[in-house]
Amino acid sequence: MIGLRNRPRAADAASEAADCALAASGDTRAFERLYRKHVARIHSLARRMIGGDMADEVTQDVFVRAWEKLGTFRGTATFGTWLYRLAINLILGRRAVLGRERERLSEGDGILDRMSYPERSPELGIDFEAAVGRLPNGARHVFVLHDVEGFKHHEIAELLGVTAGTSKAQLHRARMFLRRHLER
Amino acid sequence: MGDTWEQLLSEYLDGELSAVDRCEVEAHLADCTECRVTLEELRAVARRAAALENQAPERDLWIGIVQQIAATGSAEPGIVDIGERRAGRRGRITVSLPQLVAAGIVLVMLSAGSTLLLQPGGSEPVMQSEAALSQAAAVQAVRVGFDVTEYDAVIADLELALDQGRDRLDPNTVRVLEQSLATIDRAMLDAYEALEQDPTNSYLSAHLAATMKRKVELLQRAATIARAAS
Amino acid sequence: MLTTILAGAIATAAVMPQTDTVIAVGPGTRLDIDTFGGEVVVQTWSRNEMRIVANHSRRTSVGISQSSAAVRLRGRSSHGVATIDFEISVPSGTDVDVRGTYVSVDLDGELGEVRVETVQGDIVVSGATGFAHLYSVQGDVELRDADGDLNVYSTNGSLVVTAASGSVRAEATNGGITLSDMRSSEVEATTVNGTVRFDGTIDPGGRYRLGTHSGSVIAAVPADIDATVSVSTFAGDFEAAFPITLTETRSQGRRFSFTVGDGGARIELESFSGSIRLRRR
Repeated sequence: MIGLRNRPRAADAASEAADCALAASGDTRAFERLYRKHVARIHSLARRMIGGDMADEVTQDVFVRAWEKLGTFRGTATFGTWLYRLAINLILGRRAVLGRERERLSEGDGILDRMSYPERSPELGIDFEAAVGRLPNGARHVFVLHDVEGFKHHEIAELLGVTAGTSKAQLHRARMFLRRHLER
Repeated sequence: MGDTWEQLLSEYLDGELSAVDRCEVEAHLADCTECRVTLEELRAVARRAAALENQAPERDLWIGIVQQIAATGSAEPGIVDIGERRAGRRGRITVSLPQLVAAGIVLVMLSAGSTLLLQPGGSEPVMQSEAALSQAAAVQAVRVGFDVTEYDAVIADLELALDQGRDRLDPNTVRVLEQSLATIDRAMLDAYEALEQDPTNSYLSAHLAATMKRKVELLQRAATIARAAS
Repeated sequence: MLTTILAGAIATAAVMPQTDTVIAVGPGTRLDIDTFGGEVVVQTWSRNEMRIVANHSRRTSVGISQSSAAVRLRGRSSHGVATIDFEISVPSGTDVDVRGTYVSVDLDGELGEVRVETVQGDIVVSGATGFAHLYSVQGDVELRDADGDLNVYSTNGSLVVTAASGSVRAEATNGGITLSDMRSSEVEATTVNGTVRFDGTIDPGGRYRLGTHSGSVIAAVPADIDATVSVSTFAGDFEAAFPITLTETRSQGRRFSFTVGDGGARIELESFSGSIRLRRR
């Protein structure tokens, strides 16, 4: 069960496998190469799922846990897939705690709202991504997993512990909200 | 009602409807401009989402990660292959003045009353008057607020103060301070390694000196917070 | 129990505040707050009074003392730490001084000089005049619409300065710095791990230094500037939107200078390993 985007090309797989083996035996430089290759994907997922404030910390936790569990990585899937699955599990485990935090913070706490979405290049996508961030938790999680990451509703239902019907309804809610925030 | 049909549009878009339902929706779409417009909007949202780029975090998170990894003791010793490891500092890479001298770094740090010039090949930091310095290699000077000849001692004192006050501090604050110190240490190490290749590069020496100054300031702040915590 | 609602008063909290008092103050009276945790929200109004509203538990109290120079608020607790949420209205032009540990601070209005130090907590200040010193160890700091000798620091958070004039110093360690709509003649913005962004006017006699170790530097300036630009990096790269003529190049490493227009202002862009970009506003 994997997202449909960002599959690594076959040519990269060999050097990545070598780095995995090195990292599994304690080579942090090899692990740093793996980190640099995958951090954008993991961080973007974390940011979209749980918000900018906690994304850095959660991303670090993902990689630290990946380091700890490297010994169990069998290589039957690619490292990227394995890492991604680990990230999903960790992020979903956190959202229960963080969901309450976000709700509390969103009650007119202008300071944190302003800080959560700093401007960043590329120019495209600022408004849309910020709008995604403003979705309520349930709708946002479903939207990110379905439309951004490419999961199917039955997969999302299993991941989030909801019914497929709920997943479809949440997705529709999210899209109806976001259509007002497409640029141009 | 418009609402009922609208509710089905996402599933229609994603091909989730049964053949019968799909036909009914298509028949409705033929007659309903509003739903057609909405459908295109939903399609645009889905397309936009699929096209979102992944962005690396603004901050380099690697330092925090490697610090936690080093703390678990599972990293190869080779990761910290340079610099002194202070007793009790796990995984922290530091640069000391004797090292800079040994590497032939040209560095100028000025404080009131003392001026420090590190010269290539010297075994001791050399005190110079400012006049003599101005004739030395064209290095940029960095003004600092402490006695530069005692840099290592200053650092050691402050780290001790922080250590003694650590239990009074919030663990979150301690973690943040440690991460920031690790960030600075890592930057110092980068600058140091670069200076080994280019010892008279004035940008690098000023950059290293400024980073060393930043470390002292952070430790001073941390020691103040630790002392104030009760 | 009735609470007197003054015209134009700030909104009361859902729970009846424990402290709600109005103090007449003379011109030039400073507001000085020393508290442990909670929120401090300050706004300005046109009265010659300070209104202090504070929400706190029964075991916590607010010590209020007044001299001709300052109104001082101290958080006290008979048990454990003092967490107090303040909402304060002060006369226009008031200098404000806040110190705390777990305090987040929001100051807005026609303020005078502002000093804020906190360990964990965000700082947002809008409207400081003359002087500002804002320091959070862990939180983010934002300063808007300010003029004077402005200094913002964070150790682990990011800094945002918008629409500032005068001289600006922004120092971060593990966080980015964003300066936008700047109208300042002296800017120094440095961080160790983070990106420095600048967008603003360039004073022909001004000095601007933007530096980072491992992040990017992105400066957006008007097309018609007069400046000498020096770029320093060890392992990064540089791109300019201006046609540039190199006036000076140091060997070994990427350091060079060039002039745009008549070359009056000094712009220094430094990143040890990141990208340096000079763009048009």
